[in-house]
Amino acid sequence: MRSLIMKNLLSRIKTRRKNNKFIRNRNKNILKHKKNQNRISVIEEEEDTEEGFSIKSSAPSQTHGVQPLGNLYLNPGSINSRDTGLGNLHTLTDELVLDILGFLDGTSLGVLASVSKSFYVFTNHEPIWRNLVLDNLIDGFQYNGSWKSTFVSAYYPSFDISSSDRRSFKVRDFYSDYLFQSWLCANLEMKPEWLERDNIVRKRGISVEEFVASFEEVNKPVLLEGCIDNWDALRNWDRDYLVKLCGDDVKFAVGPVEMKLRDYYRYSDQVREERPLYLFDPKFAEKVPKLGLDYEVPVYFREDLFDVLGNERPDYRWIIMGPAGSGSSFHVDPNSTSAWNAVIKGSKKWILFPPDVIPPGVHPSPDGAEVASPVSIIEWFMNFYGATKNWKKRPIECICKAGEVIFVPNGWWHLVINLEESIAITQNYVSRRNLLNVLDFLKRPNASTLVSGTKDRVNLHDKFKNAIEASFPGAIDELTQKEEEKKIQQRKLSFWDSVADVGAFKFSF
Amino acid sequence: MAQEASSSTSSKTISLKTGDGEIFEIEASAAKQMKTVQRLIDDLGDDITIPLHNVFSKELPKIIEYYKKDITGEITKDFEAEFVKDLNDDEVKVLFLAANYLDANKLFEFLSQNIADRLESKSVEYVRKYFGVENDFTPEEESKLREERAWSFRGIKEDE
Repeated sequence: MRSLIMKNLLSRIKTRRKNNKFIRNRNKNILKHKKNQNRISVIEEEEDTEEGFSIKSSAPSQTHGVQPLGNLYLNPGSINSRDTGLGNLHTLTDELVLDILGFLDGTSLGVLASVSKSFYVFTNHEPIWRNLVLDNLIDGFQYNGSWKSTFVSAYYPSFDISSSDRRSFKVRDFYSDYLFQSWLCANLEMKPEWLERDNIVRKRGISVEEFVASFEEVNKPVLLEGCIDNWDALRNWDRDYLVKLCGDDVKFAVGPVEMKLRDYYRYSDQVREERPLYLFDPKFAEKVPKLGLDYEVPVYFREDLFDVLGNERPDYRWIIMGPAGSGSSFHVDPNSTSAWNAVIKGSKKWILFPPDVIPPGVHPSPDGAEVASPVSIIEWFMNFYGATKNWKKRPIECICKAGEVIFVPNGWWHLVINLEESIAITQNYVSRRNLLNVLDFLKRPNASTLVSGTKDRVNLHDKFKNAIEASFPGAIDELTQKEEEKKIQQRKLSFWDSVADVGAFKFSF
Repeated sequence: MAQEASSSTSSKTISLKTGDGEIFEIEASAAKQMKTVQRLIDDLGDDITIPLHNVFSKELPKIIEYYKKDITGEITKDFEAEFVKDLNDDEVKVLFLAANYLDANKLFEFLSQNIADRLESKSVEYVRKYFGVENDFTPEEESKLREERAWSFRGIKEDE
């Protein structure tokens, strides 16, 4: 395993949004270097010691010889072939050059590789080809070693791409932090110290009442052991079984495309990238009913009030399959619902922050519709995990293994990364405990954009409320009353608390 | 230096001086869309003529024209098509680099797409000349490359 010493890591901030538009650096926490109008942003990471990073030992992806900018500064007198090879474009940042190349079709990109070494490196940037594949091969693709090869072999099947891949060459004197870090993040292993902390409460065999009182009602995460031991999925779900069961006629949602399970495994076996795609399908049980029969909702989560909506309920259950390194960066679940996540195969690292604590490096917009955070999960760990060590508000962390279920209370920020190839089932739900929250959320003016998985987003609030009233008349009023009483109690308590603190106040009659 | 309240900026104009010494006026609201200009205003105040060393009198009027339309919310696909219709590849390139320098996001995005459109199906030689790129491949490397990308030879305007 090679190791690299890295200092002053560049943090590329991207805003996660529905439509991909250019995001110039808006983040006010980023230091800007105004030299030559280059908008290169650097977040300086204070490292106590120089720390090495481990590269995945199996076949790292192509780097073409790109080096970090730090190396250029250590080589006085050296030129950067990035700049000479871009001509007038050299004043643009790497991101902007890539954005422009992102507008081109595959053929033009292929041609441009011959312009100069710099163009060669830029036009071979895998994420561009990934976008081309995902935008165009929406009925699925056969991954062929790299996104570029995948694209070329799909559109030019007679061309022997595999032999040319082996011959692709390295360029010298090319320095770029953005491109180097992109490669680095695609090939890094998770560091052991990122996986050490495991401070979640673990419970085995508790009653539903205890779960509700100790965790659901007080909005606390918990890891539940032993509650899915009877799942057939735990016994059955290996690759052979699943491929046979699902056959070649069913396609599952993988990012923006739909593909056969067999083709998905072909991709996940070969892929080496920053944010591997994962299979994430909300209709898995409709597509293959046996999958739905191989598991059942753990006893703690069976009260799910969205049930009253029947077929009109928003998406609520997903099968998740992903290779090591795939996962989800910090987010809060939509609809204000709570969730559980059961690992059937593999293992996942979780990091959770309570609703009122925004994780370091994450910048949500006021309405929560946009969340700006580092590009990849590994990058978050590299640049921000260390900060959590010294915070008073430490996150809750754990590794969830096969057979274990984690409860994610509503509103909690969470980040998940698969430490190995994993399969899991997750469901969102609404119980009496967060019914009022959900109704409140749905009343908000922008709820229609934030609610996922319904066709009729606008009326969801009214529909849901009416359906609850029909099935559980008076329930909403009862809950509202309880909430009011609780609030009054809390106000009373806090008043007396404050009075007790003020030494000057005395009962003097 | 304290910022003046923006209540007076609705009719306020800013003076911009190009690299070749000409002065142009724009509305303060248009200047806001060009982040480089806005930063200079923040530093120098809005009563001073803002110097733009890297933008010249040939292209600045076109940029001002774009943002005049933008602040009235009238930018449409048709307008944008008209805007670039009579510009040759070099003129678009100059505008595009100026928009980058001015940090004028909207114009830059639009021109990037336009440049990309113009690059489609152009030859390697054309692109090198266009951006002023030096060819740093050896002849052996170039022929290796041509093999590697033989699949991309279809549909090129010029001879390969």
